[in-house]
Amino acid sequence: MMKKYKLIFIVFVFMTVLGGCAEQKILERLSLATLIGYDGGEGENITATAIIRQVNPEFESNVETLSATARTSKGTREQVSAQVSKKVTVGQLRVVLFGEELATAGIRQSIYTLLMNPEISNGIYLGVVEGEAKPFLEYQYENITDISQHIFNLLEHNIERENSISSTLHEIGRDYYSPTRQIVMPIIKRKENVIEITGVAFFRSEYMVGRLPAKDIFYVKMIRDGFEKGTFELVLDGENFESVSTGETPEELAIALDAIKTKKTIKLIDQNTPEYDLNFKISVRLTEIDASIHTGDKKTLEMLEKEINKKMESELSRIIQFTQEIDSDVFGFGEHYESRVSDSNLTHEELAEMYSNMKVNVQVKSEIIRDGVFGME
Amino acid sequence: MFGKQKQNIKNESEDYKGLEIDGIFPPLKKEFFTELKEITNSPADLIIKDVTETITVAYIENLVDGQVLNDQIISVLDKSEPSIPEALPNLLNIPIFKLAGQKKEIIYDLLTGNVLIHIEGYNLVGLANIAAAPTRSLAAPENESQVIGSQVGFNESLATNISLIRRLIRNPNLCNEEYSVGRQTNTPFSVLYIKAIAADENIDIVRERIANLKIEDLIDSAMLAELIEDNSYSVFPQMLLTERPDRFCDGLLNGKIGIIVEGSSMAILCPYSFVEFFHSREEQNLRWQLATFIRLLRFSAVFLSVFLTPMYVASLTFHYEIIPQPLLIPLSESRAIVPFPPIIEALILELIIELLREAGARLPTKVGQTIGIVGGIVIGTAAVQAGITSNILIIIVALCALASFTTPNYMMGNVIRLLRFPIIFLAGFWGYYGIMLAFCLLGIHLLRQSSLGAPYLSPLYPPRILDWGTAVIRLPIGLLKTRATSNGTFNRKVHNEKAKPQRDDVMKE
Repeated sequence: MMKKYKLIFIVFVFMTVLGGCAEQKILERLSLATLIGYDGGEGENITATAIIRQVNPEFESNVETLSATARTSKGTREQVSAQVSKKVTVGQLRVVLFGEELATAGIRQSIYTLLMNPEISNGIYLGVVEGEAKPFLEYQYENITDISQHIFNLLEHNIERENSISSTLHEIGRDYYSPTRQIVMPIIKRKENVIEITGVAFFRSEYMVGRLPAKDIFYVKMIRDGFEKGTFELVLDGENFESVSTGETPEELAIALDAIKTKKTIKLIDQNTPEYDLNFKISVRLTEIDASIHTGDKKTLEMLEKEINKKMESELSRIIQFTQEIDSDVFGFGEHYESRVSDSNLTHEELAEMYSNMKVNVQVKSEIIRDGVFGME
Repeated sequence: MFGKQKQNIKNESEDYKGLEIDGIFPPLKKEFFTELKEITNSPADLIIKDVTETITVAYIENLVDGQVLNDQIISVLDKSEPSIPEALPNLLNIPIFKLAGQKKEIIYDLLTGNVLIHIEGYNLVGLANIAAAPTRSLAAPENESQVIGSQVGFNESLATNISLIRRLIRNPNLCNEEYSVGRQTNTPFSVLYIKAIAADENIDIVRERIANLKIEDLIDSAMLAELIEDNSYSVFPQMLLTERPDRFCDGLLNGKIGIIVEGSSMAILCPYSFVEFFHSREEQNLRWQLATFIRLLRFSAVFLSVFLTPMYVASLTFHYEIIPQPLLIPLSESRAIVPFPPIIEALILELIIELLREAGARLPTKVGQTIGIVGGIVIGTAAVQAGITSNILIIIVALCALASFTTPNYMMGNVIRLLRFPIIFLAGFWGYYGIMLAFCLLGIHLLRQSSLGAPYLSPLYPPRILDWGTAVIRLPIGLLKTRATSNGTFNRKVHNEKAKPQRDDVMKE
């Protein structure tokens, strides 16, 4: 019995004594870095620009943009620390942006430090800024009070609506450390007082090697992750519709579609070339079409479907061809190959090289399952 | 030095035997009453009255019904003058009447409201029970009120309470075993159970624990519950104290054992599991969907009540990372003017709430209302404006307090509120790690407890999925086919069949 009380006593002593060892991080006594932009500096240096939220007792919180240049990211943190009144912490970090120059020069070190820091969530978004990150973040936007929150919301809602590639730290880490898969990130840019997503950046290993404009993000996403919801636009050749049109057919027939269901199947049909069959089965809702086309007719719909297939096949093939040209296997064909062909005995380098010579046959089978009501959602 | 004292106490406890009176009284009147006075220390309210030369009655003044005494006893004795005590039972029209010779029996009966009738020359006396105990009239139970259902509660009389139960359960199998305990008080109490439903083992355990009781006094049933509980040192009650006859009978019918103590308006029910403390009798009266919803709401309220404030403390002290972005700004802005760390802030506010509650409970109802105003306006608003606490913490603490009040059992509700304090400390010292530690310790402690040997956390652990129908949710009565296993009953089958002929069936006939 006495022994038990002694034990309890010891536990209490340790509790009170060791309680002081846990480092307290009381919310309002911290400077919260919510967004960090990295740029390449002179030589080995990197420049970090941090958006820091501080709370002061006058019931207000303010946002500051501070930057520092050092050899390591911790070094920049110490320098930023010297400029603020409260301890700088990165636990509330939401977005990390890379300047285009740094992205081209390689972001290996940044990804590594971000992943290694337990304070930083794996759910933060990564992105590339067209040009340099520092002027982009330091610009005084007219209608944006908190740029970090703005960019976070911008990325989040676009990813949610499937208008942008998802680039969380977790996904970037997975693709980066997978030897047969490459990274993609959204590109953002300041356009006067507005920030917008302007494209998608393709990486080979740690280097940014190419980019496509925003309108192609849809196809990249479609091949990478499939497509569940969200609206997209297609421009079809108007000539083909002359027979079914009731009025004057426009030269280019623009239609808006809303994807309901997408099914992607990859099939390796030839191991040696290697050759892939990439099939898509998509069910869509027709949400907008030129008034001259009467969609009540089944024949018209069939024609539309055929044209959609043709258009999408050509677009998808173009995207794949582009990634092959820059040799960036962002879709993970190499990974697929490795998992199917177990006796290939190919090294990862050989697999990566193989990508540019792959043959991918894209086939799209679309089905318009709803039309006539042009609702927004 | 301490050792010696302990030794003394031990010797005393070995002497425990209760009031020691043995033997029989002498037959002659004079000697009889001299000795009676000697034993009872000739109290002022002991009346000894000669009816005739040979017949004497003795009683304690305030314990007997004077009217009955005059009409049914004194006048009858005066008229017929019986010469032997054996003639008394036929002569007197008293429902409870007996002849006794043992000193002990006579003295105790005298003290509980019997009239002693002595006939010169006999040491056998007649004892007529015409007790008139002062009791409160039946009232609605105040601590366990319910909207739908009966509105009667126990009062302080054992006889009334048992009659309330017999009115709800008219069954010869309803057993009633009477005991008394307490060297100084000799408090009678009844152990009630339904034969063939209550487990024999449980009845034996209760009997044994009662037999081994050695106490000086027993004023309320809560004391008895503490004495016969499995683990009196635990903060969690293992036996239910209820003032509702319907809840009590519900327990008996499910194989529990009930104890009613004279002078206490709270009856004991055992074995009782942790989950059952959060049940209310009213749920049986409500539609089952509603009852299930309320019950689940209450379970989540318990969890919230215990862990919400510690989570606030831990998040703001150590884990600012987990605060969602929309909450970040309001939280940090309202915290910005507070000069204390979150743990002090939370403790201050929790203490204020506890003080308010305690003050409200001790004050008369009319004054109690002002407490609400003081608490709500003065402390709530002023504390924030003075910069002692943050707005958000006020909401959290109020929510926790509110959640803890949803527990239908007052005892358990208090335990839930008490549990918060050590967890707040742990959260303030060690963050979420501390909360997790507290959660584990709590889980281990609860797992180790038992009620009359039945696992306290049943039916959650050991898992008894069949019991969840009554313990976690409430199934419609028609679907209930078995009694809960945790009560140890072997007679588990319940016949609840809905006799519901359709309109068409009736019309055909």
